[in-house]
Amino acid sequence: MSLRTRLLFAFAVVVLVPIALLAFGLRQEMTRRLTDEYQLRVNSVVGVIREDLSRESAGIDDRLESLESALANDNRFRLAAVAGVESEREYLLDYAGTAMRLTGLSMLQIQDADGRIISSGHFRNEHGRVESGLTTALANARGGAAFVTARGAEREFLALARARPFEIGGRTFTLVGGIVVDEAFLARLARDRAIVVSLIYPGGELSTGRSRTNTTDTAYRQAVGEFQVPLIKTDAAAALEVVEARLQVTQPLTPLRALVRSADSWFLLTAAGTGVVALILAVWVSSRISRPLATLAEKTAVLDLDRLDVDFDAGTDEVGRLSRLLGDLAARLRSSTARVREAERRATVGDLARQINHDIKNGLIPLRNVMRHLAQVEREEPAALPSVFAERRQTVDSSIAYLETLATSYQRLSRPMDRRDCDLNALVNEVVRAMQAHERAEFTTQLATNLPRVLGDPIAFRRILENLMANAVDSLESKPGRVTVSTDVVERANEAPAIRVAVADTGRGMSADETSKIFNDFYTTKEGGTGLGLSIVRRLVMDLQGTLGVESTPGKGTRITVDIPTGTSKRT
Amino acid sequence: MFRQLYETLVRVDCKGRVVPGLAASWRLSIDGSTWIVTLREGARFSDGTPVTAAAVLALWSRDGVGGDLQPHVNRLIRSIISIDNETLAILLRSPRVDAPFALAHADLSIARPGSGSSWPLGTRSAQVTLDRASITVTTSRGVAVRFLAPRSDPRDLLDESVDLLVTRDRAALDYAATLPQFQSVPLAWQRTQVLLSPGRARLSPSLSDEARQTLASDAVRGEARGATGPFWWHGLSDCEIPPPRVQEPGSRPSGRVVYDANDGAARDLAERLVGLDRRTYQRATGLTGEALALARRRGSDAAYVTSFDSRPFDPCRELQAVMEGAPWLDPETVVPLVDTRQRAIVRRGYSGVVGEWDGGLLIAGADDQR
Repeated sequence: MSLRTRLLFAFAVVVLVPIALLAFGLRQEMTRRLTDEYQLRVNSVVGVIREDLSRESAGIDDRLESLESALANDNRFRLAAVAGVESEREYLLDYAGTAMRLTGLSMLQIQDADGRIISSGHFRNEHGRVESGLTTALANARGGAAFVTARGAEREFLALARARPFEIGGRTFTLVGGIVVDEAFLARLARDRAIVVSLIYPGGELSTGRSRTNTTDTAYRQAVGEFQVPLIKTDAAAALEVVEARLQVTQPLTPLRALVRSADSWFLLTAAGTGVVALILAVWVSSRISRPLATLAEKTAVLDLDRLDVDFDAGTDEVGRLSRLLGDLAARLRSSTARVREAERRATVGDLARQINHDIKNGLIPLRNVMRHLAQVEREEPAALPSVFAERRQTVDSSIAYLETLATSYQRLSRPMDRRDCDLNALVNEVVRAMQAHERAEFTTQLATNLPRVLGDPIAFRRILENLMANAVDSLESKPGRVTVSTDVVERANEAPAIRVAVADTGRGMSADETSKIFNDFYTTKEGGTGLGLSIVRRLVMDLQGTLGVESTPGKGTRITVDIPTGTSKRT
Repeated sequence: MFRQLYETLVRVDCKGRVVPGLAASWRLSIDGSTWIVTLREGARFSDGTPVTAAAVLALWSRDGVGGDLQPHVNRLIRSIISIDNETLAILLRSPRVDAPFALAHADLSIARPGSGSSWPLGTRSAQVTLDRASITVTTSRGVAVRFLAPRSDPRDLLDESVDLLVTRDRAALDYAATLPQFQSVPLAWQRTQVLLSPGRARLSPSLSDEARQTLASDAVRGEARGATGPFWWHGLSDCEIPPPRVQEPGSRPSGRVVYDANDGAARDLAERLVGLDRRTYQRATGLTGEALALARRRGSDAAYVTSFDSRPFDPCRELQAVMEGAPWLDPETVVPLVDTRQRAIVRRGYSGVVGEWDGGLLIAGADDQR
């Protein structure tokens, strides 16, 4: 994860989480308080509706009282209802209708003492029907009023009704009057359109809205208040029944929902704005931090011992201090590298002198041996001198040629390595033959046939072989043992094949620690050794773009491999 | 107003007698099946065109030259031919042989399209003029009779000094009784309110005379009496009446009593039925026009309160019309309820009004022969 991404996440957490927490807390608190407010309001509306119903009931009673007075003075009513005069019957039947309209009632019945309807205003032709029990139920209702399911000719309707008995001519009659209870009536009770008033009773419901049933929104429960009112069901098919109806006042929390939605919108807007600002800030800050770091990384990437001239800008901040430290480090490295190179140059000169000594000795020792042999023959068998000389002349010529070549090589030391096609098998045979002449070790060769020729300096190859074989002989520590030199072709993935030359001995072997150090300059395990043989081998192999490998087991021997890439060389 | 302008071949007076109209005479053919009708001599349309047998034939036929009869004519007449310029041979659908009552039906009025007027040309001498609030018919005697549109309160018309008001509104009649310049004259019992109940069995008990009278006095506002028989829809065995359509099994009546919302007596009766038997008749519903016709045709309601013509010219044709509107109806299950009639409130001293069989009034002079 990049520094920029981390910074972005950090800003998001630091900025958005507090905003979300603030939004959640405010939302909860606002919901709780407003819900409580709404509930208080609903409770007060319930109280007001109770009073309104009482007032409406009193108003009905006032109108019935007025009717009672009018009836007492109405001779036609007396004739029809008390005396039973047939000619006034139609007047009686139509009386309630006329009176109902005059008094503004929606329901009016005049019942006789048996509960028989003798005149009905809301249903003119239901006269004669006995509705016993209605006046008693109304009289027993709380406050003398109750909701009644009144029946018209075309439909049933609900009415808030009350009864008022009166006497004319010694006969008791009862006025049952009421006002229609419909959605408009409930809306008048509610006063506020935001408040829903519902009358819920067994078998039916009347409501000014639909909020009562909309209770699925549990997140915003409605503020609800209710009280019970008696309801008289007058069903022609069944006996009169008094049930409890609930007058329910519901305050839908729609405004609260809208408020919360609005607050949510503002919070989301704030969060989005803050997020955008945080994003821009994060990008800016990360750019301010990561750009110098990236520049520092680029400069550090190109830094090595051959290129220490990188200029590190020194700033005042932490990155600047780091840059200054790296600059100081590069300066110290430059100083150290100069000293190391000087030491290396001196060591190389020493190495060179020792190598020259070693190489000359290698060339002189056969000559010395030949001369000693010839001197011995001259002393002991002078006659055989010519034949012995002829026999050993090749060795002398070879050594002289070697020394000449060596001189030429040293002369050309400053020039690049002479590169030409070399036959490694022939070189191996030549070096083995020279070593066999004066070493007691058993030399064996396992040379691959059709070995490709390699491009390189034959002197370097010879010196590599001589040094490796000399070390192998030395590891035998004058004990009987065998030195095996082998050549092989090694196939490599995606690269040209390599020629592998392996020199294995059955000498004392080395530990892992020793093995890791044998190619270091001046490291030796031999008494009187210079520690340069394998060091020179390492350099020569590197010049030939080859690689070295060591396998050694203490007490069993060592096997050193040299892989020389074939390059563009042809197979022999 | 209709009969101030148009005539039928015959008329039926208030006593049920067939009297000449456009036809001067009529007789049965020898085989007793066809009425030979002779047109009144000198009969003319109001524009002076003579009314001939060929003209009548042309007016009643679809192609205007005496081919197939027009549908409203074909319901009453099987065939018609012109014997000569003044004589028609008419084969009626009604089997009655005592008089050609069917020819008095308003559907058989003689009228032809008039040029330049929306009113067809009739054979009476009266002329029609229109203004915004009324229609004026002027007789040949120069008497102009103005017909006023009904008002929501007919008493307003009395206050406007009309000479004649036909109504059954109780308030208007009571008001007229207090006005010395008016007298109230009952017209013929015109309509019989009946109850049509889908699924009612023939053997179901009908209402007694007393119950019908109680209904008339307790339920119906305005002039009414218990329906008085015999009822014309009984015993019409000779009529071609299709058998009642069998109601789909399992179909349950809706429980409502349907009535014509424009008929106050029907409403009173329907509501009384609901008041008396709420279990059977749960509510009364007033319908008009197509809705009423559709409800009656379906027969899916508990009952229908409707009114029949108390004395139709052609009972067969009348019953067929009833059955067309209620194909499920078995005539034998029709329950008569009450008879209703209107009253004419006439200004005292105003004369020249002739009552007819069907309760219609004819202004004196309107029937002057041209």
